Amino acid sequence: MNTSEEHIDKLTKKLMNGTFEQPSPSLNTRIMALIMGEKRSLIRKCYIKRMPSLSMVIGCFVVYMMLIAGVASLFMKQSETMSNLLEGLKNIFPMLLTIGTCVSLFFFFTQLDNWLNTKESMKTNVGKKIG
Amino acid sequence: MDEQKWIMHILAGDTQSFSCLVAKYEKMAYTIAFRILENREEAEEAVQDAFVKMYRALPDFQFESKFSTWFYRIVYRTALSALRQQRNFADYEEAGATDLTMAEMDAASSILEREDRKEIISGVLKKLPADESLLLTLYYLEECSVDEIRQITDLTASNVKIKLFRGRKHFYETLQKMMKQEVSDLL
Repeated sequence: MNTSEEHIDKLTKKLMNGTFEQPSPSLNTRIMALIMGEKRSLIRKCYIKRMPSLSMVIGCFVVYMMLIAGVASLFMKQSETMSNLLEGLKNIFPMLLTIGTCVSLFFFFTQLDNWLNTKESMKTNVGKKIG
Repeated sequence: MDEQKWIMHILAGDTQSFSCLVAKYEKMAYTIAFRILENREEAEEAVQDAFVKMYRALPDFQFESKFSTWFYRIVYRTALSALRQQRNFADYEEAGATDLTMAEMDAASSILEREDRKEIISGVLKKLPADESLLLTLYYLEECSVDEIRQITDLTASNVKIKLFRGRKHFYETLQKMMKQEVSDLL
């Protein structure tokens, strides 16, 4: 019998042909379940944005108010004594309050809108990928 | 190349394409893990871990090597971590085995046409040391080249060749013993 290297290789290949070990039928399903879990956690990391906190909103409101008051006082041609300044500010306080509130609310609802949109698209994408 | 298309889809967000990769590589991945771990449950767990690692590393895969080589390396290393016994796969030189004898070749040829050939060969592979059965599986079953096996196992090319030669010798010796045992059992 020919015992050349080539012959031995051919014989060994024939002997080993098809001798894969068989995993259990559920292995495929388990792997895909793990991958879907990986995918979900990845989407969650990418899409979740924190809503601005209440303190942030109030802080923004106060900053806006102070900014507007500062800008307003720059344009007021009043004397620089505190009492005159306070008097002047008291007169325009309702206007300042209105402008400050509008700006803060605009900021708040813009952020809320963005957050709701990203949450909605997150739900849609997860539904598409898992579906 | 199919893998390239599937990977592009997976990276674009189509996770269902990953099931194509699982279907194609699951069996060989399990075979590799089973050769190392010699336990069904541990091998399946290693395969699960390997597929998850592969999924996480997909964005970094640049097709510098064959996808199968890259993935089998992940499976190999995952199974080795599970095994925690590096000594079986140490990079060492040993005196080469002798060539196959005629009797061994005859015993092997006699089972080629048998219906239970696969079961017999699986039984033989289970009796071999884990590193030898793994290298024989990669070389003769998956038809990996020596260089690919070197990339998967981090062994040197010469070490791969020595282990293959020795493993093949043990394979035929064990097969012959099993055949003799079968004959004596029948008698």
